[in-house]
Amino acid sequence: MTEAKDVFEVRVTKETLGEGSESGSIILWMYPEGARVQRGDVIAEFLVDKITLEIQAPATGVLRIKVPAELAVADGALLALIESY
Amino acid sequence: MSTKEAAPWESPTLANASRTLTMCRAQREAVEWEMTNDPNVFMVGEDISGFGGVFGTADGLGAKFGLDRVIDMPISETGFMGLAAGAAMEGMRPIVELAYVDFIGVCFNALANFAAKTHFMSGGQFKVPMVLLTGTGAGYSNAAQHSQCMHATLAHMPGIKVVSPTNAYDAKGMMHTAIRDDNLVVFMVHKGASGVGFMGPLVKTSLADVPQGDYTVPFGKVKVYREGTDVSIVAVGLAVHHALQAAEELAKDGISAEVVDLRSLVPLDRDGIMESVAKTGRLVVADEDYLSYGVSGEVIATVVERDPTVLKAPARRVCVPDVSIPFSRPLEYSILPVASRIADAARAVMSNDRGKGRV
Repeated sequence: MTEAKDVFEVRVTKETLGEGSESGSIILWMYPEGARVQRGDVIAEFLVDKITLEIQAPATGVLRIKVPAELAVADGALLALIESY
Repeated sequence: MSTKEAAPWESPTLANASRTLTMCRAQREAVEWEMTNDPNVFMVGEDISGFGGVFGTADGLGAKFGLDRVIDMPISETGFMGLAAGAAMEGMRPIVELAYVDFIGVCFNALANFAAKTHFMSGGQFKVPMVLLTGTGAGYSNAAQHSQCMHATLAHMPGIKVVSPTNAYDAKGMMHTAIRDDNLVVFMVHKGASGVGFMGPLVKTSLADVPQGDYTVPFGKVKVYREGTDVSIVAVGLAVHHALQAAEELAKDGISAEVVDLRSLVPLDRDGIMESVAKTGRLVVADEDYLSYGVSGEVIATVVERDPTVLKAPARRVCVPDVSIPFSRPLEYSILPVASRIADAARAVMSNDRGKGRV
């Protein structure tokens, strides 16, 4: 098993939530845990205040999901890691 | 193992990897592919270019293709339905978005008299390759004028193909088929199953792995979601997902239910219906449209016309009774073809109870 060279975090930001929303939730993870994703791939849909946003992979690598769908998450919450090799 | 181990992301299959998608996103991918590859394809509708459509059917398309090809329309469905039909006769391939099928009434002259009949009346000189993409269904207290399915209203009219996919894989493949079809295709998606975030939790059975590239799913073939031997539950739209839940419930009682998704109302796969009912000998039809004069009756008529002797018990229908859909959530759910109603109907058919509980 090769060690991951870099680990990129996917977090909820103030920008994701926009003004006036305290929290949001993942609607759907489009790839399963451990899937290989490419930088820029839409990996999840995220719901804030009736608006569906796209979460993109910040890097090419292996997806490690940290938060299940439909759970309310606030600013700063860690959604996933991308391990690049 | 080779000396140089390939990094996980260097997998050759990566570029074609499928993802789990909602129906809404999957069908949008098909629209995007067709618009990219065929300059004659364009989209018209209300709130589509900037907002992406009420149910996300055009999300991102306005930014990608511009205002010339993703065209916002005023609230005048009569006008833009005619515009689309005319454009189609002249060789374009319009996709018209009508967010709620409830407003089909003001579109009907353009659809039924022009789009549906011009190929026939012109002796084949004109084709009308047009897709009407529309949202159907109830379940979220949107009251009588924003909750209907109207499957039969459209399927009744000759010259119109009517399809209603129930999962993301079919939604994408059938959208490709619809856009490439040279006829008017009405593409009906239940709002509750389309997977748009604000409609609440996703219907899990509507999600599917969807390939990145283009592919087609043909019209006129049922899809057997779940095989069974005791009773066929033939369903359309969101009722398919209710039927799958009902089948789980029935399995606990030792009843093996087969769940058949019609997918396409016109053309209707009468052979596929017959094949399932001939196997199980019992039939329940679930449809969120009104009970009388509908798709449910058509399915039963198909069996009765072909061979009524395959039925071991009278068939039953689980539909919206012939009333307007209530705003009140408890009243609304009391008339929708939910899993408990479907399971009850299946149990009644199994017990061959010819008297009780008929609608």
